[in-house]
Amino acid sequence: MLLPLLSKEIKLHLKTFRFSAALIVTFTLIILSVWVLGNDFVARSNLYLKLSESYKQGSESIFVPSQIKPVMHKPPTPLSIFAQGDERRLGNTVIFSRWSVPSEAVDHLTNNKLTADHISYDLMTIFALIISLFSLLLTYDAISGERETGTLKFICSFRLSRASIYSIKFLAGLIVISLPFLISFAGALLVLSFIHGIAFTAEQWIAKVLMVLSGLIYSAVFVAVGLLCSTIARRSSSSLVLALFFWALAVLLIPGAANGIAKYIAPLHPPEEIKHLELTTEAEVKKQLADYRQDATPYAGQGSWMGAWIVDENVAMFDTFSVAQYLQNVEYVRYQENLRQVEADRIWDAQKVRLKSEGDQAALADLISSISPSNQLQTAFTGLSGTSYEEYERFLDACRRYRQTILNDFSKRGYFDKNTHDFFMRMPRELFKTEEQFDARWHNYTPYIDAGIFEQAIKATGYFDKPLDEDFIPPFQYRGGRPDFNAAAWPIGLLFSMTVIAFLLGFTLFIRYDVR
Amino acid sequence: MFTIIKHQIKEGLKDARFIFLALLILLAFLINGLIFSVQYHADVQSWHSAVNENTQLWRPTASNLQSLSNYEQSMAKPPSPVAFIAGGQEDKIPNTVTVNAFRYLNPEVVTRDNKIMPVVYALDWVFIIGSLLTLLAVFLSYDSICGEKRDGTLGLVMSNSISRLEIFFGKFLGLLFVLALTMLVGVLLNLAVLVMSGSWPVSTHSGLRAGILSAAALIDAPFGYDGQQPH
Repeated sequence: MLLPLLSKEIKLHLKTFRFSAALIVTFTLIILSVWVLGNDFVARSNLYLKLSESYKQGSESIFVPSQIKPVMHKPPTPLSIFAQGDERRLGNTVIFSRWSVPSEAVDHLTNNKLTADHISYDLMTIFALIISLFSLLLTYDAISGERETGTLKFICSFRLSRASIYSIKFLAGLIVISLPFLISFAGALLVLSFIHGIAFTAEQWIAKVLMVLSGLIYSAVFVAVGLLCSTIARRSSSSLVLALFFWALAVLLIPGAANGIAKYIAPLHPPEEIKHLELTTEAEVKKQLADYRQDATPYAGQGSWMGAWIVDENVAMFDTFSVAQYLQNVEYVRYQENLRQVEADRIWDAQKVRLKSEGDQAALADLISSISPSNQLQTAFTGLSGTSYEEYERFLDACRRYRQTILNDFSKRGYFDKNTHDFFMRMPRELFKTEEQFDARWHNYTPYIDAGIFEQAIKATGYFDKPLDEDFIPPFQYRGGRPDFNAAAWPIGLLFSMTVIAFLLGFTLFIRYDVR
Repeated sequence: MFTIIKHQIKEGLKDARFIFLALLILLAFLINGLIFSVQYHADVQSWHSAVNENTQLWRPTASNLQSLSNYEQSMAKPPSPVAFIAGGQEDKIPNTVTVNAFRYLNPEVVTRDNKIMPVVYALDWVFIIGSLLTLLAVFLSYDSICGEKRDGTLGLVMSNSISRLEIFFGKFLGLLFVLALTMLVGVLLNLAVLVMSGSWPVSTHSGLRAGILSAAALIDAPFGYDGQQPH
């Protein structure tokens, strides 16, 4: 008796206009969004490869350690096609600097800065907005509509418990709403593999299966709520209004209001404080350097050619007029490097306070909107696709660790202590011992300088033929966003319990339902 | 025709759907007012401190015209006093640029926004009117003809000496009045919260702009990005 009723329910649903509308709309939207975002992903990965390649080429002209400035890119993950999350919104590139700790990434892989902040119509948004609406529309009149046409009395006169009737209606709704989605998702995977040629790893396949699962549980919440609405209201038009009211509240209003309320309750640490600290620290450092130059090294920073100025972070090499001046310059570089690195840590400590206040506010907003199923879906999807804010944090952490590794490596080699010469100078230290040796360096390349051919002059020194070894610094270890299964467990569980609560509530109402 | 309008208004106001959603809309307007009054206060404060900081920093260079023209000032954009109507991209696009007399350097976002917060619809007038009020309009009007036909009252109405045009138009005007009333109450509530909070500049200019924008909302004109200079 159960199975025939279930198949009858499903067949009835399949014949309705609502189902065809849901099928067409879902299919079109999912295929279109996957096609557009797939193109976007391919473009971004190509750009990523190109940038990494150009960085490798650039590293061939690095001759001294002070020139080392690796660029760290966050490679795009193919799962971002299904849930864009924060991957395009927040930055993806960090440039190494000895004089500052990275607190945020800049945007190098996104084409348009202004659209990066918009809500993108990916699978997650289609689920949150469209499929939830169709789930409600499918079941809002399952009980009240049958009561109006009088068939409910007929069904209840069968030798069937009300529990099984209610469960069948729920199951039928869930199966019918999952059909359009499963068909479109299969189509989307075909589009991705045949048009874009994107291959997924095993881990990403598991993440995709879990995404489908969490999406289905999400629609189950709305199917159960639709049934609940249809048992609460006697007339089907009223239950429609009730269902749409719930949708507007849960999907549209709560997430937006939660952000606003969190901003109201927990205001942010003012950004101007950090700006102020940065400006004053910079002024302070400049003053200290000026004082140092006045007292200890009056000639430091003068006499540079074919390299950068000594005041610049990128001290490649510089030439001086005498051994005394050279020694003063070495002292100056050593002093400045140590000073700047301490200041960088100080500014980072202040930035941590600001970042913590942002994190607290976001956590509060997340807590307030956790009653909204769409918020849980967002957490699950972004966690599974590796595009969540946590992943961005992990990337930045990796960048900071990498910076620290390089700096530790440098100080182990004594670049900020006794070997500062090797830090920015390619020529052997012996040349700078006596004035005779010092003057002898010039004979090789003065003719070229007099002729104005600086490249030839640099070559003639004989110290710039071979760049630094590639494995002079360790490679950057971060390998792109990976599915975070732990982050998705809690939201999936919460969505499941929401379904159970809505189902049980509607069920208890239906037990005492007056079928006339 | 006036009887029809009156009847439609009465029916609309008594409707449970209307009461539900109107309360929701009023709540949204209230939350908007509360949030914006706090946020605008903080934004104006931070803008003032940025401007003061900048002034303090360039003033020492002012003794010498050459050093003044070379000095790189950071210019901050003031927050819009009507951003609660249409938030737009105010928080995202650059609001600070560094300039000297010869160059325009890196525009940057000294953000007043929380980057970590997930992107959702901001609770501004655009959202409240564009989504919630529209939903209310559909809820109220979707069964105004077929519902009467089902209840059998449509025949009674038609049997009077009123033309069909008048019936249709009367229903339309009645519903529009109900919607306008909801919005007016909400807008007044919103503005009252802002004025009472004391952080919002009560000037004819901002008042006029709020008035024009709410009038535009009634005829459902789309809102553009609104981020001009205040005063």
